Amino acid sequence: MAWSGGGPRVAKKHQRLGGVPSLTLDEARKQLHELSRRFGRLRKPSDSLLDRALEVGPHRKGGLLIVPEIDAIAALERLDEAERENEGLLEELEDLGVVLLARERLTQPTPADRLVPLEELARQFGREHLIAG
Amino acid sequence: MPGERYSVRAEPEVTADLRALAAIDERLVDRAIELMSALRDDPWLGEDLWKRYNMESIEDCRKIRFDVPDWNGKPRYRIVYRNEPLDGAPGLVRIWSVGPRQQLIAYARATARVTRSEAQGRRRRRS
Repeated sequence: MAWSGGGPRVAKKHQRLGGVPSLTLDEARKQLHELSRRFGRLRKPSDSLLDRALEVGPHRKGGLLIVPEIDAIAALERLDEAERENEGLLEELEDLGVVLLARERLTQPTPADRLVPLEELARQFGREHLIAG
Repeated sequence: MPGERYSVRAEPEVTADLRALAAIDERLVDRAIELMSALRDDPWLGEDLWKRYNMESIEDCRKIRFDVPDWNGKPRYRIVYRNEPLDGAPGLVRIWSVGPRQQLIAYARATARVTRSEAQGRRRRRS
C-alpha cells in the first residue's frame, strides 16, 4: 500500500483524530469568539481530550486543535495520575526484583571468604581516598 | 573516636557492576563507594524492605537509592545489601548488587515471563 504525502504519520494522525470535526482557517476565525464563549461556559470536563475538540487548518487538513480549557486540564490531570500509578507499579516491580535477587543469593550464598572487602573494591577502582577515615 | 565498624563485603559480581557504572559516569562509582563506606558505621542506612513486604527472603535486606550529585530527578541507581549479624562480632554487610534500578525491574519482568511460560507449558502438558 502506498502512503500519500506524510506516510504512516498522517495515517496515525487520521486514526487518532477520526471523528474530530474539521474547520478551515476562515471558518475557525469566524467562530472563534463563539467557541471561546461556549467552551468557557463548560463546567464538566469530557472523558477524552478529543470529545469536543476541533481540528483547524488550511483546506481542512489540520495542523491546529482547539480544545476547551477544562478538557485540557482534565487530560493533564489524567496524565499525572497515570504517571503516579506507573511509578507505583515500577516501584513494586523493582522490589519484586530485589525479592528475586534475594532468593537467588540466599539459595547459594557465596562463602564469606570469597566476598570482596570494600577496601579491595575501592583499591581496584582507585577510590581508596573515599573510604579513608 | 568511632565505635566498632561493620565489615562491608561485596559479592564478586559487584566488581562488574561498578565497572558498568563507571562506563556510564565515573561519579556513580564515587557515590556507590562513599555509600558502601558509610555502611561500615550505619548498616541500617538503606530502606528496610522487610518492613514493607514482610517476606522471609528479604529479612535484613535493604536498598539505597543514589545518583550523581547534579541529577534532579528521582535517583536511578540502587545498592542492594543484606545485614548478616554474627554472634559476638560486628556483623557483615553483604553487598548483593549495585546498579541501575531498571536492572531490577528487568529482572523481575524476565522472571515473570519465564514463570508464566513455564506455567503455560505445564498446563499444556497436563491437558
